[in-house]
Amino acid sequence: MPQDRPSVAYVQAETIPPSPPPPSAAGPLVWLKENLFRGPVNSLLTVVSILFLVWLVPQIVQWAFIDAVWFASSLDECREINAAGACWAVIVERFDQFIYGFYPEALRWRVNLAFVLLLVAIAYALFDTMPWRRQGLIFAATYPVIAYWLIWGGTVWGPLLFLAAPLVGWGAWRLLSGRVPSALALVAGVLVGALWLLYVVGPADRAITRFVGDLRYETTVERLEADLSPGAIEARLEDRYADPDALAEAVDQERSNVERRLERLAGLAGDRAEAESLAAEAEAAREALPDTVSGISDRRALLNLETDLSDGDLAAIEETLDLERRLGAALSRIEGTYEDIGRVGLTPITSRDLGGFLLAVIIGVAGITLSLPIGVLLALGRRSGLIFIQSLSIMFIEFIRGVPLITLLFVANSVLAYFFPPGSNLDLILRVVIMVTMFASAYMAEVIRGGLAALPSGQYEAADSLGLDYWRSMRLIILPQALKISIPNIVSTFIGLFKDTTLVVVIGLLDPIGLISTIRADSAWNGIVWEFYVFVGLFFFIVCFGMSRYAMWLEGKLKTDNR
Amino acid sequence: MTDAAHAAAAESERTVDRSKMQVSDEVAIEIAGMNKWYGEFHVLRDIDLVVNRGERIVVCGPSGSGKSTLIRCINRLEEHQKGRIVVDGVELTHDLKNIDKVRSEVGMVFQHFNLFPHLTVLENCTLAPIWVRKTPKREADDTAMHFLEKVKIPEQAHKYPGQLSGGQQQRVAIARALCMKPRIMLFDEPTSALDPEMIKEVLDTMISLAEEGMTMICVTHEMGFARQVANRVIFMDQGQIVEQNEPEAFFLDPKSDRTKLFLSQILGH
Repeated sequence: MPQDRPSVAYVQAETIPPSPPPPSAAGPLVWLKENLFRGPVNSLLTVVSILFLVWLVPQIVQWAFIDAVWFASSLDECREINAAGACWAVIVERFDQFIYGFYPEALRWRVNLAFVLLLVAIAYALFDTMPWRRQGLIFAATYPVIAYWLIWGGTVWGPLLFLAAPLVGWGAWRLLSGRVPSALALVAGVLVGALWLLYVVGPADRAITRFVGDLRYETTVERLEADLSPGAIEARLEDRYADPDALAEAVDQERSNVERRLERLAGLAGDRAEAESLAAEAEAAREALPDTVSGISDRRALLNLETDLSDGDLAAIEETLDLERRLGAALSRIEGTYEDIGRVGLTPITSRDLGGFLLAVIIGVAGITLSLPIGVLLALGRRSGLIFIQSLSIMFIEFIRGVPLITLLFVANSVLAYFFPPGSNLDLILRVVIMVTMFASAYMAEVIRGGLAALPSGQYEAADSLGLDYWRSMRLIILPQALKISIPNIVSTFIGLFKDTTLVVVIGLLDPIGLISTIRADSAWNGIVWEFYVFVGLFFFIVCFGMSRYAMWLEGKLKTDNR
Repeated sequence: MTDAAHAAAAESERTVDRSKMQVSDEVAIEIAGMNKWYGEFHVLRDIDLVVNRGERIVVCGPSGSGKSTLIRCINRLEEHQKGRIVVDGVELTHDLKNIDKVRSEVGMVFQHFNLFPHLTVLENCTLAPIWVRKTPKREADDTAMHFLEKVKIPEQAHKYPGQLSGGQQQRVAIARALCMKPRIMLFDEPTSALDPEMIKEVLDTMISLAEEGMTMICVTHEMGFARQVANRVIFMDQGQIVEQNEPEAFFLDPKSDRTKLFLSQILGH
């Protein structure tokens, strides 16, 4: 072998220590060059963009802040003060309406309280480092019922009975498990809970109210009569009104109110007697109906149809209907009276009074919190081996996804009531929440299915091989990972849902967008466009951006590799 | 083989303590006339196999021969369509309760570890004892630490699987299976996804498990391990058990041509 060839043998005796990169590879100038001025096209784009921003941003600042008018009582006044700027005065003046809709001013503390509690509940649901986490999570789970009661008011029994439903279902399940197959016990538990909600909560609420009303009857009458004695109402109200005229007016109003209530209370016995006799008469009239008619429930329709019923029969039907109508009126009068004196709770508010951001937040939060668990169940159902559950899930998902949300909202507005037992009189906003939830759940199910499909099958096998049953392996192994993978898409769905709440304007609910047209109908503000949409847009942006940031934080927190 | 590889092989051949490796008469697994199809494809054909308690069985064979499928049938990750499988006196049928019972008594180690990446090493080990066996958390933690010490990685207990090397992950997977105190362990090519450096640490763990008298069925191509530990080697091809014998006889005097070809291919370089 020739000696001048280099040897192939080589040994590195020492480890080379790490050293910092040279200045040409790091630092702000390098960053600028790499990111903004890399090549002629890139440099040109950078310059054009900067020029565009220099042209645009000052104009926006000028309009929105420097020239803006914050306090004025009409658009004309705004324009007089400074015609070039934004007229934020309309937002300032109508701010409360944007927040609360038409919620009675004296009761808005309930909304505020519900909102503060919402922040607490959200904090517990989203962050696992809060103190008293267990109690906090229980509170977060019951929050929807508490919020519903605070915002809509009504007796306290309704929410309590509602909260008892899971306990009742659980009790039924406990009673049956061990005696019948476990799946059957589970179904029975769910069924009992559902029946409790549909058929027990309402009547029991009314029965308790009636009971309390009877207890309170005497004292209420006494108190109202005491109010009517000269000077009593004045003494009660004089602290609140400085102006004597206003006081007199308030006293008059209160006096007529007291008189009306007394009158109703006095009429209670009569109303009951009337209801009793009407009930008997209606029963008798029904029995006297000809056989051909007695089995038909919708007798009113018979009157409008061309039938071969004799005039006598028709008259009998009409009389029965009339009796039933009067009976219904008497019963609702009695109920109203009892609700007046027997209600332990808050003054009820109707859904028509809700609006603005309050409405958007109610629908958004309810939809978001419900659509995630329902979406999970639908996704699991779609992947399930049980053909019945699988096809049911697929049909639901495909149908709901294939229909525009507006259509579903119209359905909520008109058709949905037919699917619930008569008399349950589902609130419009509740119906909207159901529809929005169903819509979001269908999307959510597909998002989560994607996450489930992305998990390697080894995870399922490892969970199986350890003897975990289906629900445990889903809850402990599969879902935590699948949901983590799906976070970006889940949040996208949430954001979409929250922005879609503005669609309720098509069925006449006054969400922020709906309020804009209401306020513009006021001649003082007619002609304003930009300010409204900028304001409403900003609100939605802040909420949605917050969700997005939370998702990013959560993703970082759940990252478990190479930390 | 290079000299270095020979040296490494020699080093890994540690003396195996055989004092507790005793095969009893008690039957641990009984497979009789078992057949399995994937759709039209007949993957397992007339498998008959009786495994006594304390046996260490190595299953080998070319890829696609059905060896993984066979051991996955034993804890019913795969369903068989004909014949019967009885594990610890419990027959595997459609009864989910029986399946979960068998699975909690049979530990399994996978080629790709299949650790749960969202849980720490310790949580990986305590999850099944807590939720399946209803062990109190403190006790489960103690057991898990005991087994993590045994596989020599107690210091990694609070890390996540993604932060460990392949060999460490596989040892965690073994500890996780052991935490359920299984009576039978199944290994499905536990070293095939590992770098050569890491194979040894996993094999050492498996050897010490064998030394304690664990009933084991290992699908593996580690013939050194088979020679040292196994009391029986099974060769499978095309869904059938072609040949089985004691390791010495199996390696030195294979009977069937198919076995001879296979052995010449895996030992031939």
